[in-house]
This record gives sequence, structure tokens and C-alpha cells, in this order.
Amino acid sequence: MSPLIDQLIEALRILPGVGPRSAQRMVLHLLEKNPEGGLNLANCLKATIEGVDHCKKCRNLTENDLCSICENPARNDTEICVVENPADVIAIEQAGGFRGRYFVLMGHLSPIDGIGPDDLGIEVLVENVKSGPVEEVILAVNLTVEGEATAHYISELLRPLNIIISRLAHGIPVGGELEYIDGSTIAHALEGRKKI
Amino acid sequence: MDFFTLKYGRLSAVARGARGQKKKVALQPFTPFVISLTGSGELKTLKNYEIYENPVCLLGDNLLIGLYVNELLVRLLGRFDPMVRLFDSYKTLVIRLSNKQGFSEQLLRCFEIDLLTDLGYGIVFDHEVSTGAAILEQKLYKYSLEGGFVPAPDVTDSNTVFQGKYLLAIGQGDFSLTSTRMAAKKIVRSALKPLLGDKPLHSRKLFIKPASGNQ
Ligand SMILES: [Zn+2]
Repeated sequence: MSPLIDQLIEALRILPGVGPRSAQRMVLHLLEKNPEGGLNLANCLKATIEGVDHCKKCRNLTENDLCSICENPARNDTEICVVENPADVIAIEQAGGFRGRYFVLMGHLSPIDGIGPDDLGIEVLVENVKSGPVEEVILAVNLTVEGEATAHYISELLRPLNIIISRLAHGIPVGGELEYIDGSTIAHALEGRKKI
Repeated sequence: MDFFTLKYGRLSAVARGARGQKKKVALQPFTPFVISLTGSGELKTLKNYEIYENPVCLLGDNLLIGLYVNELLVRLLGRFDPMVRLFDSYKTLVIRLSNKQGFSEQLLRCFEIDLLTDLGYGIVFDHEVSTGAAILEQKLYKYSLEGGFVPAPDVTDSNTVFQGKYLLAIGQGDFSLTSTRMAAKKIVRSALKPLLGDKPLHSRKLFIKPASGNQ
């Protein structure tokens, strides 16, 4: 059609789940229906990608040296919740109930993919724990083999520091019917059962 | 994603959009699946999969050992090269690692020795590789990259020179002595080194406690 349009279609395809057809639809929509919105999108993209970096303390995404949670004096310094991704911070914040600090690994240990402790800033985490009044580290990593390995590795590193290290409980989701839940989830739930 | 299969050895497949069974089961490492694949090229597409046996759960150091073994397989096995015997050893190893009774170093060493043998780099523990003479308990031997041992005048390098009795013990699968386990670890490392090349194994970095430096 036009080299510029083709280029934009190609560029949009870097987004997850966007194939050639939907990329084409997006481009035509922007050009015909909403050119101002498109320009605004372009400006926001550039500003965000150039301006946002990792928080110096918790590695979450922010355009400042420290993110808003790290800067908030009302948060509880004695608890650090370790998560794999920024999306996990958002999920826990939306759930409410946690008032401590976070540490975002930006992934999990995966030797086969060459992702090691250095890539996850684990040294920074250990430094944070050593230098602050931290009493408990909550390992809120995903319940996958890699998440489990990450949790084990971090807990071994933190063990000598004499703090509480905890994991999120795993089990039956709210509203879940036992019949439709896989065996390993049920096994985990049984193992982590609570006295009432 | 890489699969270690009974019939075709290691193979790679794209798992996007694959259909699992009704109960949602994630494609997690160490889990035995029955899979069906399509595609004529080297890279297959996973069509659907089903859990074959209850998934095992590896925890703690045993999990790290499992990841180390997986990394070894991905690095060393060629694609579409059936390894029926090794498949079996792998299965046994994973099941044993999932038992919480702690780790058996012997288990991992035997698996590594099996792996070397099946890759065509087997190590002879009871005869000298050069002359075919029997290994003697009291003599010193040096590990040779030809897949065995040659007589050594003295302990020039404790990483490659070992007393005969430890070699014989390894050959018989008797890992009861610490010195045997130490020797086995060094021998396996030396044997794996040329196969792995310059790229280090990432999973080795995860073993932090030197006291239980099992792998
Ligand atoms: Zn922060």
C-alpha cells in the first residue's frame, strides 16, 4: 500500500498477540478515525520508554530515582514482598491489605534460558535487607518450577540474616470447585491446610 | 520449549495455543506428558498434551539439581537422537529427587556417568585405557580424555590424579566413601568440560552452600 504504512504495521506486530491482520486494522483505524489519538500515542510511547527506568531500591518501574511506594513514608519498612513482575505489585496493591515494601525481580531464575541471580538484582535485595529494619521477607513468586527455584535460592541467601522468610499460601482459588482443580493444586492445598 | 521424549530423544516444539486436558495443567518441567506434535521441520508444533503420571514436586536443593540435570540435557543431547536407556535413568532420577529424604550424591553421579556413556563418552573404571591392564587398588592413575585412566607417577594434580581403589569403587557403584564421591565429582567434571565448551552451566551458580556443594 505505502511503505510508511507497511512499516507501521510491521512495528505494531512486536506487541504480544498482534498478528498482521489486527496490526493492519489498528493502523487504518488510527489513520482514518483518530489521527490525533495516534500522535498522542506516539508521544506517550516515546516519553515513557525514554523516561521510565528501574527504581534504585526495589527495581520496579518508575521515572524517578525511587518509585512512589519506596518514597511513601507511611509504608511499613519491616516487611518486603518479593515478586517476579511489576504486574504482581499492581495485583497485590489492588487486593489491598499489604502495607510493606516490595522488591521486583523482573523475572525468575531459569538456568536453561541463562537467567541467573545477577539478572534479577538479588544482590540489591540482600543489601536492602541487611541495611534496613527488615523483619520479614515474603516470597510472593509464582507457583512454577522456576518460581520455586528462585524462592529457594533467595531464602538460602537470607537465612543467615535471622529474619522471617515466608511464602504465599497456595491452594484452591476462591469460587473454585474441587472437581475441576488439578491434582497438584489439591496436593498443595492439602499440605498447606489450616486448623479452624 | 524443549521436550525429552522416549521415542525421539530431545526435540523442540512451539507450545503456543496447545490444548491441554480439561483440568488446567501447566507445561512444567519434570512432568511426564503424552504429547502429540505436528510439523515436518526441525521445530515442531505442540498440538495437545496430557499428563501421563502425577506430576512430581522437586523442592529445595533437589530442585536445583533437577534444573542442573535439565540444563545438561539441553546442552548435550542432539535433537531427534533417541536415548531410551537415558530416558529411563532420567525418570528414575527425577522420582528419587522428588522424595524428600534428602539428596543422594551417588544418584546424580550415576546419572552423569550414564549420560556420558550414552553420548559415546563412557569412562572405563576397571582397566587402563592405554594398555588394558587392570586398575590396581594401590596405584595412582590420571584421568585421560580418551575416556579412562593411565598410570600416574605421583599426585601432580589432585583434580585429575586418583588412587585406584576409588576408581574401582566408582565402577562398582559403591559411593560410600567421601573420597570416592570427591573423585567421582572431579572425574565427571573433567569429562563434561570438553563437551560443554566455553559456555558455563548457569545452574552451577545457584549452589550457594559450599558444604553441600553436591554437583
Ligand atoms: Zn521502589
